[in-house]
Amino acid sequence: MSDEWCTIESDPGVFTQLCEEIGVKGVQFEEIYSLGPEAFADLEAEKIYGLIFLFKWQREADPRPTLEASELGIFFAQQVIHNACATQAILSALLNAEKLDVGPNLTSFKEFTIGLDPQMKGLAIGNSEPIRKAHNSFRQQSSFEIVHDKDEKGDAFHFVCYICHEGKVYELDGLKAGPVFIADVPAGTNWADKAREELQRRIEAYTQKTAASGAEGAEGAAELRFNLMAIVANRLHEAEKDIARARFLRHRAHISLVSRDEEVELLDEVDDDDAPADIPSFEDLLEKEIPAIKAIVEDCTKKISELSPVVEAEQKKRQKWMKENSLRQADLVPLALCAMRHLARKGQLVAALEKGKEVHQKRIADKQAASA
Amino acid sequence: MAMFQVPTRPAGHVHVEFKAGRMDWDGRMVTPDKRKGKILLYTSEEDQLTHFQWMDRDKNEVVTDLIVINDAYLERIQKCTSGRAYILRFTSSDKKVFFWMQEPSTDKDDENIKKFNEAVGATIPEKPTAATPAAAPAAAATPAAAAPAAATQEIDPQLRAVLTQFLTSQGGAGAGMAQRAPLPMTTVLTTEVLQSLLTDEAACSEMIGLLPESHKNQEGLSEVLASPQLQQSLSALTQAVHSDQLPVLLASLGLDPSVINGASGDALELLCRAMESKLKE
Repeated sequence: MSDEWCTIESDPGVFTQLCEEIGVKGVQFEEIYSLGPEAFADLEAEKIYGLIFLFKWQREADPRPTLEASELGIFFAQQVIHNACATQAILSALLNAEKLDVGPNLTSFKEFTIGLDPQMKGLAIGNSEPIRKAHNSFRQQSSFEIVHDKDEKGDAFHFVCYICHEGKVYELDGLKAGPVFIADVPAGTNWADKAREELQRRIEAYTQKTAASGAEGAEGAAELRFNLMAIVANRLHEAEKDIARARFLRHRAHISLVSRDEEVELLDEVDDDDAPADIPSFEDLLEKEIPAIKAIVEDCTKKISELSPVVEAEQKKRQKWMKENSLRQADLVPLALCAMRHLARKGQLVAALEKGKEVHQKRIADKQAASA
Repeated sequence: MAMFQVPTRPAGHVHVEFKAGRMDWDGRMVTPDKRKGKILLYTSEEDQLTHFQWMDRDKNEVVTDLIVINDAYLERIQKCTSGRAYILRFTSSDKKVFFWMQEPSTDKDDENIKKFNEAVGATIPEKPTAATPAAAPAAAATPAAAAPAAATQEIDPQLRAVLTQFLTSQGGAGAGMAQRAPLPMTTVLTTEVLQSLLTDEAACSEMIGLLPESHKNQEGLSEVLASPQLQQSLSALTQAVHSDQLPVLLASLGLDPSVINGASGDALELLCRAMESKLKE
C-alpha cells in the first residue's frame, strides 16, 4: 500500500542517505557513543544541526510544560504516522536548522505547512510524497509478504530530537503537544552539551526506574537501549571546500610571489576565476611582505595535506554506507534459497539442519532452566 | 519511587475499556501472555490523538501504546473456539496484535468490541468468506479436542497457558516445545554453513548473479553471506516457512507442496528434507 511507512533502521548511513534522497545534501549523521563531557569535543557547535535520540518508549508522567511552537518560531509536528518517528525527528531538526540549505523539497514543505497546527503538520509529513518515498526506499524488498511482528514483543522505540533555537535548547517529541524547553545556552559554550546533560539525567532516571521494577533485573538492564546521533555538516563537503580554498589562496600567493620575481615551483593549477569571494585578493596580498606570503603558501600546503586524509576517510565511509544500504534495499531471499539448493545438492543441508536443531533445542532447554 | 508513578488513568476521554490479556504471535502460533491486562481506547487531552493502550493491570503500567487514526479494528478469531480471542487489525498496514478477553463474563464482549470499533471509526473490510456472525457466545463453542478431564470443558486460557508450560517443562524439550518455538533459519543456515559454499564454484557463480551491483564478486559474496542484512532476510524467510505460505514456497522451489499434507513436525525441517531428497546429486 502506498501510504504505508516501513520501519527503518537507526543507522548513520541510512539516515544520511535518507536526507540526501529528500534533497538535503549538506548533512551527515555521526553516532555519539559516549555521554561524557568530551562527547562533542570534536564537533563544532554551529555545525551540529540537531541531536536525534532513540530510546525504548515507556509511558511516564512528564511534568515538563510544553510550549507553543508557533510563538517561538519553531517548526513542530506531532507524530500521527506509524513508523515515521525517525524521519519525523530528523525533519524536526533539519527544518529548524538555521543556515542550512535543506533543498527544494523541504523548503517548499516548510512554506506549505507554515500556517498549520502541529497535528496538521504531522499529517502533512505523511502526505508528502518526496518524504515518504525517501523513507520507504529503505523498505527491504522481499519475495514474501511478511507479517512484521518484530517490534510487537511490546517494545516501542521512539525518536526525539534536540535543537538549539535562538540560544535555547529544546526537545521536540512528536508525541507531545509542543516543544519542551531544556536550557539556556551560556555564551561561548557548545549547545549540545546542554542537551547531553539532559540526556544523562533522562537515562539515569530510566535506569533507576528499570532497576526499581526489579524482577527481570538482568534482562531489563540488557534492554536499556539508547542511541544518539548528531546531525552535522557534511564533512566530505566541508573538507573539500576547505581544500579548494587553500588551493586558490596558495595559487594567488604564488602569483603574487612570481610578480615580485621570486622563484616559485608551481605544483597546482587552479582557475582563479572559480575562486570563492572570501579569500584574500591579489591586492590584499600585494600589501604583505614576501616572508608573510611565503608563510601563507606553507600554511595552505599544510592544510591541504591535513585535510586530504579526511576526504579519503569520508569517501571510504560513504562507500561503506552505500554498500550497506544497497544490501538493505536488496531482496536477499533468492540468495538464501539459492544457498539452500546448493547445500541440498551437495548433501549438506540436512546435516546443517540436524546441527541447527540441536543448537535450537539446547537454547530452549537453557532458557527453561534459567526461568525455572 | 513516587517520582515515576504511572498515572492510573490518562487525561482525556476514554471511549471504552475492558480487561484483556495479550497473546504472542511467533509466526506460527499464538500463546496467551499470562499477565492480567486491560485494553483502553481514549483520546488524549494532551495531544488530541486517539490512543490504543494495553496495560499491565498488576504493574499498572502501559505496555503498548499505539496511536490510531480511523485505521484499527478488533476482530473475533472465529477459529479459536477454546477462548475469547481477538485480533487488532489495521487497515493501513499488516500489523496484527492478538488479545484474549479477561472480563469475567462473556456478556459484554460483543458490546465492548462494537463500542471500540465505532469509536475508532475504521472502515472494516468485509471478509471474503463470511463465517457465522460473531454473535455466538464463546461459551457455546465447545473445544473440539476436549481435554481428558471433564471439568476442563471451558478451560480458562490463563490456566491453559500455565498447564502447557508445566507440561512442556515436565516433558523436557519435547515435541510440544518444538512446536511452540519454530526452528529459526538463522540457526540452520549459520554464517559458517553459508560460507562453506564459497569453495564451490557452481554455487558461487549462481549466488553472485543474485547479488546487487555493489557486491557482484567473490569478495562481495563472502561479505553478504556474513552480513546482518542476510540474517534479517533469513528471519523473514523463517516466518514465511512457518506460515501458510509454505506451499507457495515449496512450489516456487519446484517441490511438491503435497509433502506437507499430513506431515507433522517443524516446517523448516520438512523443507530442508524435501529439498535434499530432490536435489542431492
